Amino acid sequence: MDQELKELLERCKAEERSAQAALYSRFASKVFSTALRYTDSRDEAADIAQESWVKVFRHLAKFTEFNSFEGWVRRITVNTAITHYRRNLKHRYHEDVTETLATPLDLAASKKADFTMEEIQSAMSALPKGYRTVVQLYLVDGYSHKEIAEMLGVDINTSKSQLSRGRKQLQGFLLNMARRAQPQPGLPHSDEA
Amino acid sequence: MKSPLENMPPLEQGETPWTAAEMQVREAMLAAEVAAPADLESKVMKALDATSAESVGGAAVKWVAAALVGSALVWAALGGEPEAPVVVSPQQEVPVVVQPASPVTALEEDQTQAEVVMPPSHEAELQKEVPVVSPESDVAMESPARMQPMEVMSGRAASMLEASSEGQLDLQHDSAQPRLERRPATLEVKQ
Repeated sequence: MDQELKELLERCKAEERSAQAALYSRFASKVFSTALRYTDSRDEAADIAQESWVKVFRHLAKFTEFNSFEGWVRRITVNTAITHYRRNLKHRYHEDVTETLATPLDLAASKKADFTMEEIQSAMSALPKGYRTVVQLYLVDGYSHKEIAEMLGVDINTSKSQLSRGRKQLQGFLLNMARRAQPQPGLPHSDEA
Repeated sequence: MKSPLENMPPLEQGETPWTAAEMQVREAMLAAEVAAPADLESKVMKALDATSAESVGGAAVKWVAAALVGSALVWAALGGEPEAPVVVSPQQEVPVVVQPASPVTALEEDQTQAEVVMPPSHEAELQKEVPVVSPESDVAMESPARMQPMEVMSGRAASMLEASSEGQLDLQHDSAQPRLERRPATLEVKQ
């Protein structure tokens, strides 16, 4: 951790308002983008981010410099987002899942990756909410199946199967984007050399 | 050189290996920075102020409540009388207003306390259970009580007879009820 951040955190622990504003400015876009990964609306992401920031400032004394501050903030944001997700799950109607699973050939094709940020975000948001949440938690934020099961209140096997299906759908979407980008799609070649 | 797979979460047995696309997804997602709404900072700071005010306010309310309870206890211990209704615990003594006994109660006490010795013939009559006959029971049931002769009704305690002679018993009867025929009775009381 750099010295500047360390001093900033100490001032934040003393509830110095200017330090809190500086810390917010430094990580605001990270926190907001993390919140946005777990929801479909910017308004809800803003609510999640606001709640996360309050938790960050309130529990700053618990943070030790042995951890990565960014990782600590991200975990708080993810936990807050999951709380929102579970709360909203009660009011959500059943999602129709259109299975666009990738074939083994597609999987080989997706090994050759060159996607833009927009394509990746588009593919992720095309996933059904349940699959997307598990893929985000496992692939992006690095939670284990056991942790995901506890966070979402589901069985470990449910987490595993949702990850497997989510991964296949994600690769299917990405491959479709890659094919659309190429005018004459041939059999994609493997990158394994 | 560090392999990109080392940054990927470990996969469990049976799961397909991470693809390059997934690695890129992970990297892109973790690196993503989306500008937060402009008003979010002020909302966060307001929420912080609100939570700190809540915690300070909550503590203040607790202190005020504790002070009020404490002062009330001290005041009560010094012998003050509350104007407002006070909840009394079961252990505390509550003053009870005792009302004078009613005439009927006094009469009943007289009945139980009077020691009257009667001749054996009268005692035998008194042992008999005298059914009470009311107009309602007349209508309601056809009991043998209705068939009791009037003489049986005369077998009453001496105190009751005295009371009836003084007109006290009439107070207990409904004016609508049929009046009983009064007969002169002789009573020998042994000294």
